[in-house]
Amino acid sequence: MNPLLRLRWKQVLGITNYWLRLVDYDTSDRDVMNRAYGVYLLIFFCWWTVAMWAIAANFMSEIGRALPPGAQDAFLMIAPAGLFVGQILLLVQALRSSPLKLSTPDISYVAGSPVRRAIPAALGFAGAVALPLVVAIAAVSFLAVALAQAAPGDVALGAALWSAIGVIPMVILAWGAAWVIGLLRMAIPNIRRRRWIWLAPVALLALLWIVPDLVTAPGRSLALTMLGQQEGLEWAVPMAIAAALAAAGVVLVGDRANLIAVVAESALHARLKEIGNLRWLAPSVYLRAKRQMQSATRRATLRLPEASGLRSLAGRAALTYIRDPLSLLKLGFAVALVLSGLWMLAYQAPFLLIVAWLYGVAVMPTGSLVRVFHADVDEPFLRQFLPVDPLRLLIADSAFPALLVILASTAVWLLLPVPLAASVTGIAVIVVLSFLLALSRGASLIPITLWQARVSHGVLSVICLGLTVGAGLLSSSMLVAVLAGTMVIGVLASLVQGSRG
Amino acid sequence: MKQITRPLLELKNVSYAYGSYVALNQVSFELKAGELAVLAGRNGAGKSTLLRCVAGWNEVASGQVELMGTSIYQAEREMRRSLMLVPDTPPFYDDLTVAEHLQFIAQAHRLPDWKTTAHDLLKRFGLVTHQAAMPGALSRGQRYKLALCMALLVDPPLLLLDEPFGPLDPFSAGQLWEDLWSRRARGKTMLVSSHQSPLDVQPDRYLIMENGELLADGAPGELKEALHASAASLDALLRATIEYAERGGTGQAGG
Repeated sequence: MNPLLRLRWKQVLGITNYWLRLVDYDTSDRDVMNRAYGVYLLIFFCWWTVAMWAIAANFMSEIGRALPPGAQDAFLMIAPAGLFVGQILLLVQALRSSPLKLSTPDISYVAGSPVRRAIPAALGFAGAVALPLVVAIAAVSFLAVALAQAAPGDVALGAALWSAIGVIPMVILAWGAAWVIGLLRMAIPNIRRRRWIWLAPVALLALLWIVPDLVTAPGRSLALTMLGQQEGLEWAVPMAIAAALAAAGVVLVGDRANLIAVVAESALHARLKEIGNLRWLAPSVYLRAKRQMQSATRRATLRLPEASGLRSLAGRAALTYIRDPLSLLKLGFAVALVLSGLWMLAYQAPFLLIVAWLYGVAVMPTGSLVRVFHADVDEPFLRQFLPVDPLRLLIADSAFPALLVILASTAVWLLLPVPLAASVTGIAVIVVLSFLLALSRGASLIPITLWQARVSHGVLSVICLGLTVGAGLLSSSMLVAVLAGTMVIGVLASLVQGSRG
Repeated sequence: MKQITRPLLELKNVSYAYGSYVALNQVSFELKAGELAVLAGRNGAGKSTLLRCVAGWNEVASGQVELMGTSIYQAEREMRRSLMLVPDTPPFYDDLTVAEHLQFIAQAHRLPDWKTTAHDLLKRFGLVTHQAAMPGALSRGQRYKLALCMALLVDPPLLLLDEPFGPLDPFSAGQLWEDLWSRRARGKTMLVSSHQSPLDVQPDRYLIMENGELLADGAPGELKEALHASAASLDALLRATIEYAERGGTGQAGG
């Protein structure tokens, strides 16, 4: 195990050294001043982390106090089912392609040594679960601070702490179960041969109707802890045992995995790993390379529709989304933004929530709304084959995803118990917010002639959506928001049309 | 009355810089309709930058690029139908197959009877058996051929090719040269940047660049005479032009 651990340690050190050099700290320099600078960096990092956590926690507690009554109940209703759906998605992902992925140095090592197969599996699992664990702990603790404000007594910090601890076995169990299933596929050729096996976990969704209490029990326990309605971690004990069993299962099944098949399914991962830090420095280049590599081996499903002019552009865009279903799933972020915007208008949300929502507008990955348009305008070689102005191109390219966002948001909105008049105006708000989101995203991808430059999508989206929602909140009318949004769409559309994109 | 024929493409004192590095310095030349010109020069001479400026992909720092008497920056959308540049490493639509690339472009341009032309192009460039493949699965040469097929399918009045012979096998390079001549016979114009050209063939004109400047411009025979080159081949003319420049020659050597 030692050589592979050493190899992984070297890789971690290499990445750490790169980032440290960016802040002018050289790990190979043994000079006293350099070491002192290292200590200063460490102290600064610790202080910064604590300060940021305190600021964020304070902000979340303010938001928690501003939450309308009923928000906690809604969370308790949605979160457990959401966690179960997340588990199913993890299983789907593990069955689509080997969860154990090897980099080029790993492949060289595995091929050239009589290493036990359990070792790369165990190390791979530890690496795969580390980042989700950190993200889950941070997310759960911040959310708990906000949600527990409604609980009687000062329980917010306790809720954050218990939730952060409780989520650890939950994440290990979720990833462990997915890895065991994924590695079983790599160990048993008969499973591997079935091309559509990855769809099988979707059938588990039926359990949400058959035994809802059973499948949502872990999520419900975590949610209750986050809400400050449950103290202690008794519920987490069986989950910790299950997580330990899942981790042991990873090692056991991993020892039987066919490493030749694992290497074959690691080709894309290995090539992407070679891109190195470019992944963080130029994410668009990384994503493009990833998409190209993924599509290279993909079999084309459906046919490009026979149409001409703009309809051919719209047909191609729809086909692109259908051929990459994951990009459709990512539209969920846009749906969440649109629905939360509508919810704020409908319930006259306080100022702090609007600020948080606008922050979400700026940072949420809603790029899949304009994924095709981005590819079209980013490459002048491809752009020259599309003899239409930027606005018509944007409409044709983003009509399909925008329509899906509108349909999904409308479906959720209609499921909620709102009066008929609010339902109709709500749909109009959904349409306006969806188009604004797509339009501001698209406008940020081309140089607008008026100011001769590109404006970041965060700034544009915040201005456009902020004006719309702001107008609605100030006038306490969703209709005013629709009118304001329509005007903003008009202005933005004329700017896009006149641009040189 | 004497008829004035306007050049198809006209560059007037075009300059371009990457930061402080001057990539193009006061380049001027004209191309008439139906001309096949080869833009030659050593690595870093400014050939690709010049083509990108002509295509409007790079905005010139100073000077004018005019297509049929109109600045390409003023009439950009119309220009898209009139000129096309195939770069040395062309990108593609990630989710369309080889055949669908041609179908999509033909449909977007509302080209009539495109199916026969597309099939003919794929056949001539040896891509028929790869029709259902995604571009990511093609070799570098095949990817360049697909890009050529896309441009040739639209058949613009001015076609700009950046290093087309580099990635192509000799047979395909010869095939491309034949295609270029057949386009020329139909009155189409081509500006091709290249280090090499297939043996025994000559373009109408050579434009030879060095350090961002146009050093020589003229027909192969004229240039051979003016530069005292050993032959009218691209290799010999390039060598003679560079030697001429190193001896302190300035301005246009030929033409």
